[in-house]
Amino acid sequence: MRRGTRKPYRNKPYQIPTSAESYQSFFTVEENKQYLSDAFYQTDDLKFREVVLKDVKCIICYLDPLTSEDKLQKTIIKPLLERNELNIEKIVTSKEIRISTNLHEAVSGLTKGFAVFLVDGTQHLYILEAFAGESRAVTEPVNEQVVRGSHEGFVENIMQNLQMLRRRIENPNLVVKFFKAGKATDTKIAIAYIQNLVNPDLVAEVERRINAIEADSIQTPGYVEEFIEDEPFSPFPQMLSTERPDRLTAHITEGRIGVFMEGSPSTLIMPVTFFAFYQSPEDYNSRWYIGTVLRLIRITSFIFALALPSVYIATVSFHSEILPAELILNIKSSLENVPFPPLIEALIMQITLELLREAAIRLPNPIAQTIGIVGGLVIGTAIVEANLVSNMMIIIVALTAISSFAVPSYEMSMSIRLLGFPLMLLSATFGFIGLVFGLSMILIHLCGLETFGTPYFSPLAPFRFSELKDSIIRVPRWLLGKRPIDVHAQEQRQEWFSRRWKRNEDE
Amino acid sequence: MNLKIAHYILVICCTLTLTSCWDQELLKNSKIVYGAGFDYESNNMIRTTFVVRNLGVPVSQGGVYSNRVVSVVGPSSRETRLQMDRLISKQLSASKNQLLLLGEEVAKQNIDHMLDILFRDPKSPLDARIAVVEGRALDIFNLDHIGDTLIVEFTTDLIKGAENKTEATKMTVEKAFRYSLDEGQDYALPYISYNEEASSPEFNGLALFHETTYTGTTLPPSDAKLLLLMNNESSNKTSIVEFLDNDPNNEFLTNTVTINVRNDSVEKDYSIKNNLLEKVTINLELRGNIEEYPQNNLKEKSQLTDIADDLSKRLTVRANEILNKLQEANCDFLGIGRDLNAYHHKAWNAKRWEKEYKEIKLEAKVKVDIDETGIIK
Repeated sequence: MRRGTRKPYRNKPYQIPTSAESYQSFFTVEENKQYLSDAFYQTDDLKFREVVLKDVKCIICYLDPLTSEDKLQKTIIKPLLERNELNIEKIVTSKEIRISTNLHEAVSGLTKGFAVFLVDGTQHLYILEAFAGESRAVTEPVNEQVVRGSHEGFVENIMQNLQMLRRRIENPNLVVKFFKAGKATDTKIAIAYIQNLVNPDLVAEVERRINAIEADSIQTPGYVEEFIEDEPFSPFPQMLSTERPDRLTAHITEGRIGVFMEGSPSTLIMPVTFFAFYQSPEDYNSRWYIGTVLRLIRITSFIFALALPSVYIATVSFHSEILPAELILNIKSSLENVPFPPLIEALIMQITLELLREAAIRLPNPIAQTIGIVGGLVIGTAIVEANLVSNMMIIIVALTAISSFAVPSYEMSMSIRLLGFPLMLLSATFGFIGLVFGLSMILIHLCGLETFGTPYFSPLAPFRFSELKDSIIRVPRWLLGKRPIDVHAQEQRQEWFSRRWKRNEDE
Repeated sequence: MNLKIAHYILVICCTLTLTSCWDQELLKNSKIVYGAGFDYESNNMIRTTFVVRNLGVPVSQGGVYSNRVVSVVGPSSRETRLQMDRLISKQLSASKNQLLLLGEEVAKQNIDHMLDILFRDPKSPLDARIAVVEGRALDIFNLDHIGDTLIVEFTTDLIKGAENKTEATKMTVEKAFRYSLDEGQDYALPYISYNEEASSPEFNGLALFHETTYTGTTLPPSDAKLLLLMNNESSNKTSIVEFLDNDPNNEFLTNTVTINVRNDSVEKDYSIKNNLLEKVTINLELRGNIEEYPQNNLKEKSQLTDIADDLSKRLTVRANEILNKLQEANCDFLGIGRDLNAYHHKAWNAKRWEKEYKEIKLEAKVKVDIDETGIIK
């Protein structure tokens, strides 16, 4: 039986009650208050404040941590007490007012930071916005720093993130759609795209996949990613995760879709190609040939990080004759007293390095530096002097690590380094033949991979020569007249002869 | 279902790990042969000498490289190689051989006898330099080191230096194989001799080969240079020193001029009658700068032309002597046979060429032009 045709699961008691059936409210405030209190199982942070307006007993009910004291006082309590009237809709200055007779709606409103105003003698419930929208200050994302360019980064508050996006794209065509996911958490997920530019099939597909999510909780965008990606067993990340508004903006204006999530500064971009992981917003801030050189260096770093240790292992264990005569003596003399075969040597070093990285990443900065020194310098020197690992291997592993950190995307950097391990095993058992087979398998996988209907390895497979100019190199912006084809945007052109002033000048 | 998957995984793992032989050759466990030499011993036996590089202490920890020279006698090079394995610890790897020296006596035999082992193994070094030694190769290798340089590096650099100065052709193992099978083209290997005075090996010209054997004739370095120029093989640094007529009026010890060849062009004219090659004229044109001429100022253009004409005459005489030597040795270094095969195919007969080459008329004409005189006149 296919998963999509299954009936939705019945909600468990601990999950958020579905508001499908309504629950008529009572006529007395006391009954309503009792119901709300029971609905929250007498939680202590549900607060009730009694107000008497024109001798009618009213109760303001709210979840204390979620509501802003300021808003509650200024927009609800103060106007009501000053005017002393029951014409709630006209007096309250909250930016959103809903009137309902459904207590379920009141309950779900309370969990989202609304205050519920109960009036004695009427079934009407006034659900008033009083949400506390504090978030941390906007800072530059630590893992995606640039030298030149915007230093703004997304925060944990989804509204503020959307604000940053809206500020960058002041266009009524920018559409934001909200979704709720997580039966126990009811997490807000938003997708953003430009209507009339984005491929409608793509939007429909993303919506379909997000709507299919049935889980207790969505903690991080990583959950969403794993629920909606095409190939969950592929080693390559298939959605670009970024904390940079400028990066997201650039992708959305190329016709892609961004996914936001409440509580996480990371946003997801889809569909992306392999080369998107090797682009940085900085490329467009520096002169175009500098950007080109930087991109080429990153592509080199991909090859190094993937294959350098394996090439070395294959060379010293099978094909030492390919080394130049002068070099072979250097390498051989450093290997001479090492008791392990090259594979074990490489594994020792790689695992030490991964341990150091994992240990240093979560420590406060001063201690992380100490670990770096102890690990990098002390272990590095001592391990060579103890003849456990050769000098050459240290150089190779260090170069591999540096290359993998040169990738602008953290996930990609990790997946490439991990892919290096099976390649090392292959080249230690079969030499270059094994290495070539391993690389071919990776290449075949890359060519076959599709994300949201887009070939992942485009523009290399399928090969599109004209698109190489914004993937492998970066030509000046005015030469990039067209958007990438693989996004299937509704409009191909994105630039119309911006340098025509030059032509006019000559006449 | 799960059992089936487990079976598949087992089969895949077995085929990956159990099939084929593991031909791992750890660099760590190999002994690198850096130079090899062959000499003729009595009773049709050959003596093979290997220079093996020792690496006791890593260089990073203050160790130095040293050589171990091992020499054995046997009927073939493979047999001596096997004997060598019994004398040398670890696995012998000749894939990084830099230099192959052939003793004079052994070179006069068919050299394929020694080199066959190299041509069959795909791992053998095709870019190793190959040279002929006056006397025995073993004696050169036994010198161990010249100054601070180990003997193999020293001799290899000696040959490479000669190649840079257009005194030797770049002869590698691969090229020797190619030329030795070519009917219309012969070759020459660098000739190394031991200089008593400097107590070091010395590059001493070219040893002329015919097909697979050394003809016994050598050309001194200065003649080798002219021969290579006639073969259009000049490198960027070619200097020719020539004696001019001694002028009794100047007080210099000798009367010489040195020119540095900037540009050279060679044309071969074939005169063929009745499908028989009668005469080959080699027109060599050299354009050069004066590198050394202490005798006189060169203010006048006519002075330059005089020197150029004088040089042309002398070089023509020398070139013709060289061609005579080539013919006597039956060494078709200039590849006349191959040209004939390609451009005048009717006049070409592979069987006849063996004798025909000695009898054709070879004539050289050298013309020298002088462009510059350096920064002084």
